[in-house]
Amino acid sequence: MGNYAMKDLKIVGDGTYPGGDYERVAITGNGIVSGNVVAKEAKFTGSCTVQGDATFQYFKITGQGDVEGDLISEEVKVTGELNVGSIRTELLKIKGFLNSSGNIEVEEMNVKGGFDIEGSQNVGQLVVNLQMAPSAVTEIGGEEILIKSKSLLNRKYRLEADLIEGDTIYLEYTTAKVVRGNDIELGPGCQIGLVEYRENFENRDSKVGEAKKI
Amino acid sequence: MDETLISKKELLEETNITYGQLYRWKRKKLIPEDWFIRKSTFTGQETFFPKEKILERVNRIKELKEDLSLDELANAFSPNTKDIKLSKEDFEKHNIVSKNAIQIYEEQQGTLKTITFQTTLYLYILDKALETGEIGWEEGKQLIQTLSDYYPKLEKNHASIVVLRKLGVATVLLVTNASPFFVDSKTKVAVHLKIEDVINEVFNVFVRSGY
Repeated sequence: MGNYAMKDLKIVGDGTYPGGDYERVAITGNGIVSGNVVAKEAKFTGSCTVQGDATFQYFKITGQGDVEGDLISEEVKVTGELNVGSIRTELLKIKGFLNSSGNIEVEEMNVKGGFDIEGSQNVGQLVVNLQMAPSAVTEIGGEEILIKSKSLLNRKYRLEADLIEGDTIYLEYTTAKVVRGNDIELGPGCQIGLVEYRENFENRDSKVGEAKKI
Repeated sequence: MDETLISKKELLEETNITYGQLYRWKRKKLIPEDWFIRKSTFTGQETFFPKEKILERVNRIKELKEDLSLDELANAFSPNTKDIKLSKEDFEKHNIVSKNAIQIYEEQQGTLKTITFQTTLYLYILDKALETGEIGWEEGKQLIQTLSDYYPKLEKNHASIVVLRKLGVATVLLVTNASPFFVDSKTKVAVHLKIEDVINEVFNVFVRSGY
């Protein structure tokens, strides 16, 4: 990443401000950044929108954050809702919901809540506890994929995917056309069309159309 | 031109890698996005790859990952490589580019002490352009200047360097996509190099020289 100009952007209340290079971006209230923005650190509290691409090394959202373009980051923490065009980051922690119209590339992703991803999701380690609302994604690919559905009230939310591929996969309450991997374990509530595994396959309590060792 | 394709499943079998590794390398940009080709098959969407390119790349990653971390590898495969540094003597010893190219570069950008991957790339492009016989000393300087001013700002790989010549005057263009462009009949395209191809060549040179 290039040089950062040593200035901060602070918005409190309603306001529209131009994009640019900042040291820190802090928005509290109803802020709009009207273009591409770069900062070391960004904190959004309330309902905040970036009308362009955002490059934030550290990005924290409390409330609702929108990045209409691509979000590039190292660490993203969301409590509430994040809506993006696409994301590339090392770490992504969400308590709430993520909507993405494009692809997600994350090394470590931790979700309590759910997501709706129209593109593909490429993650190193994915841990999801499905809550609040149904989740959907076209494709998940990664090393370790762990999808659970546990909530205090006994309501189960589901994940729907076309394709899930990974080294180690554990799924609950997931509907998928195809699941491929080395070690695959299905907990309760899954409906999988085709399972292809290389090492181990365990089915605790799920419906599987066909399971093949390859 | 149709390339032979290989399915993802065949690739994993043939190279003995896992899904996780493949996805990881994609995230680390070790495998270009546009090598992932989606096609509909009777089992739904499947991913295919250009066979020759992907096998070569995967085998190279497997060989090199013993010695290099993934990030170092990513640097090696990406145009923004920062971590390869050679002394000028070493560089000259390997005969990677001609002396002329180094001289032109130094006249434009100042004396070289250590040479990075990026610099090698510029030198290599310059050398290839000089080899065509279509550009001379001054134009070489123009080319180097264009590359060092603007190439770092292009984060995507898909750029080409073009030198146009009309009535003896040369213009250097750095264009960002592979779509064709057209010039009037009095203008000649003196040089047209895809930077991605050059990066691959430079990388091969580095590998052969043991870096």
